[in-house]
Amino acid sequence: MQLIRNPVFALALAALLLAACDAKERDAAPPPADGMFSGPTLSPPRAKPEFTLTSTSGTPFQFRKETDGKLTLLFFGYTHCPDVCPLHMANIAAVYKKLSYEQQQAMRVVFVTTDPDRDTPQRLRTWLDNFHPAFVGLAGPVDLVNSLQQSMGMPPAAREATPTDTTAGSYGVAHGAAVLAFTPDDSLRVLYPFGIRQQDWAKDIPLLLKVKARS
Amino acid sequence: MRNAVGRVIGAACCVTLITSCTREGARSEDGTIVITRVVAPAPVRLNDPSLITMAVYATIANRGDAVDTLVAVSVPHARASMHHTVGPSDGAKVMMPASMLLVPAKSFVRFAPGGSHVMLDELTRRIAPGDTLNVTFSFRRAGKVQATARVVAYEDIEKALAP
Repeated sequence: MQLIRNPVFALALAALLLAACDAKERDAAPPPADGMFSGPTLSPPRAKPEFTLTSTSGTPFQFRKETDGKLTLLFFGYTHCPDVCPLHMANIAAVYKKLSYEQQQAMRVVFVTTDPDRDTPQRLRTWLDNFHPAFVGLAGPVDLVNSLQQSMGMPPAAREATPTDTTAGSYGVAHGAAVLAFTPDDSLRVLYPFGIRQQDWAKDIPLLLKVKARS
Repeated sequence: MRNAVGRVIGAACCVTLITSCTREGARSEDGTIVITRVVAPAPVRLNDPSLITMAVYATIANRGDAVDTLVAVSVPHARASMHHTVGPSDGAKVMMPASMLLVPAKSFVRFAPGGSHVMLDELTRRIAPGDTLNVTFSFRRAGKVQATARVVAYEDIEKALAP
């Protein structure tokens, strides 16, 4: 008590506290500038939506709550997709595997199927495990998934017939090809189009992780 | 001594020729069609290979003076082979069936990720990185061209297709 009453000590303590606060401010990156990321930046950014879909384990996944405060990469695709979907996942996974444990814990990769008829929970889980077991797979009614996509500026998925219907259920699914990036401040900030490379993710993910809400 | 030197030079020439042919890719009999960078990402591992789809990419050059048409692609290990043209539609990637592909004279077309590609499904055997696939491209003018696709992991496709 006597120490605190000492003005020199009090001033030193105050200075230390202010320095700590300042450091915390410095740790959070300044607002992203245009051209900072490898994909188009939304201006203004959009709030992270609230919705609940079913995970591959059969349990409800509340998207906003489960990804709160994390860098979240969200993609709408399907497992019969021959190139856009697996390439996106493979490129993200290649970079994800090289991140530190802390960085991995600070992000979520979420894949929502646009083909719930064929993408059973088991198939979706097995497919995603080819890329990384931490990747989240979600499914829900087609109408709900389409309305979610539209709410985030993405086109709804549509079933396309293939010319060789040699087996029942042979069709393609037209879907948006962009990965939506929500920064840790729970804002939709960047849309990454198909064609984004591993080196782009390697550069952008650490930057995205630093975009946090100022306290 | 001269015979030995001659044999060595001859062998070196053969190796050079073979190597250059390999680098140039698969060619049609008339030499007008040259197919290079034939690469396929290994399909995702699923319990039943018949439920898998995979893509094949390639660069098709037409060195002839007339346009040619790719009318079919076949692979022995798949029950169905087709090529799709993927084009943007309101921002969505749309898989549209394509029954043929024009290859202009003195030009080339590319099967590449996110664009036109050969799609295989109903595979009858498992395919893994390191495997090869025999792919037959059938052209209206040049006839059949047999090429060998290298199978690589999806994460290695960028490197495999880099110029």
